[in-house]
Amino acid sequence: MTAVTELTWDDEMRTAVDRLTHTAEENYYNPYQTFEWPDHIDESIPWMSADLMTVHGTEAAAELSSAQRLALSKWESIHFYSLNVHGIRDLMTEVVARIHTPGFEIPTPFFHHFLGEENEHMWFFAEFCLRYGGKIYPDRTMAFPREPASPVVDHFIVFSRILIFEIIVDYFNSRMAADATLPETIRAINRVHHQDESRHIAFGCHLVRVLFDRLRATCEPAEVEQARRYVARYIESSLHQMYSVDAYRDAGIDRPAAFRQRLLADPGRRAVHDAFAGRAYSFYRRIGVLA
Amino acid sequence: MDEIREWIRSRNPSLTGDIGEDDDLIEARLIDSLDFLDFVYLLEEVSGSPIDLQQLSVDDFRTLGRIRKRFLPAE
Ligand SMILES: [Fe+2]
Ligand SMILES: [Fe+2]
Repeated sequence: MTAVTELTWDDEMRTAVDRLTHTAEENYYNPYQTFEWPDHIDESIPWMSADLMTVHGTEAAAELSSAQRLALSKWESIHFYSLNVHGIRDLMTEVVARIHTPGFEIPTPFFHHFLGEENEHMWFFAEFCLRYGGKIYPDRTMAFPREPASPVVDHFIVFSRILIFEIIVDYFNSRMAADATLPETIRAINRVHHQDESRHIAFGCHLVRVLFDRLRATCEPAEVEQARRYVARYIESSLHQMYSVDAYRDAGIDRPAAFRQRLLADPGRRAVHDAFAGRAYSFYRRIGVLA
Repeated sequence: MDEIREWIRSRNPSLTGDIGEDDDLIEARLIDSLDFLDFVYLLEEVSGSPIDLQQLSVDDFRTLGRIRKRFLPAE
């Protein structure tokens, strides 16, 4: 039993790949000439929408001075693009491992656009961090040995990771692109990213839906359960990633690790998390992964 | 070290019995990639110093004994 024989794609998937590949070709742009990079970005205005910040809706927020709040908006903005840089490295690695391999003939044409676009996203996110933050926050993830699983489970988990990450990021991108109080450069990178990601997310939803159908049809109940648990935990863990001790420290917040704990425990964050991941939860409920 | 044990327990409510110094936490999936971030933050807080993951591998976190030696030498 190999991955090859287990993967089959339906007409809906074929049509989606054709359509999205066509749109990607039509909308192709040169990212290296798309943005204006001013020498400085005004630090007297916020760099992240207030409702996207990790202190939003918490008791601890009231303890911050306005200078700390402003500094935090800068560092959480830099941290958000840093997370993207590292997240993109991870997802590109997984797609590179699958492009033009047996079983992935149908999605492969779009994989080319996906990889090309992600490489460009990584470039402009990194460029922003380095120009205006002087650094990219270090990657805080670690490569763990994979739990042994059928290839279909592996594929499902990998593409779910990509999709969940993209959905949460897109919530931020859409919000910041539309927020007229933010500096124009910040709005622009969020806007451009959102445009490409709407295709990636549409593609990912088809891919994951088909993979889950295969998984249910061919795997043991324990593996279906493993996949469900992974999705729920991955969403949670992606939300936790937003809370950066490094960013709190850079904003001059005292005892940044304890501060992070307090924010995560604040009941005010529950509704916010539900909003950030709302589209992921509803998608996974629709395809029968989550209850 | 008690905080570390406590945290592992809280994340693995089905765990019964003691966690030995040489028990393989990774193999037993008591710590995995999804809660690793929170775990490292806890370790930084307990040890009082930042941890540079670029210099480390999952083996450095494999047992309580190794974690103690590497990150909490004073204990
Ligand atoms: Fe992207
Ligand atoms: Fe993407």
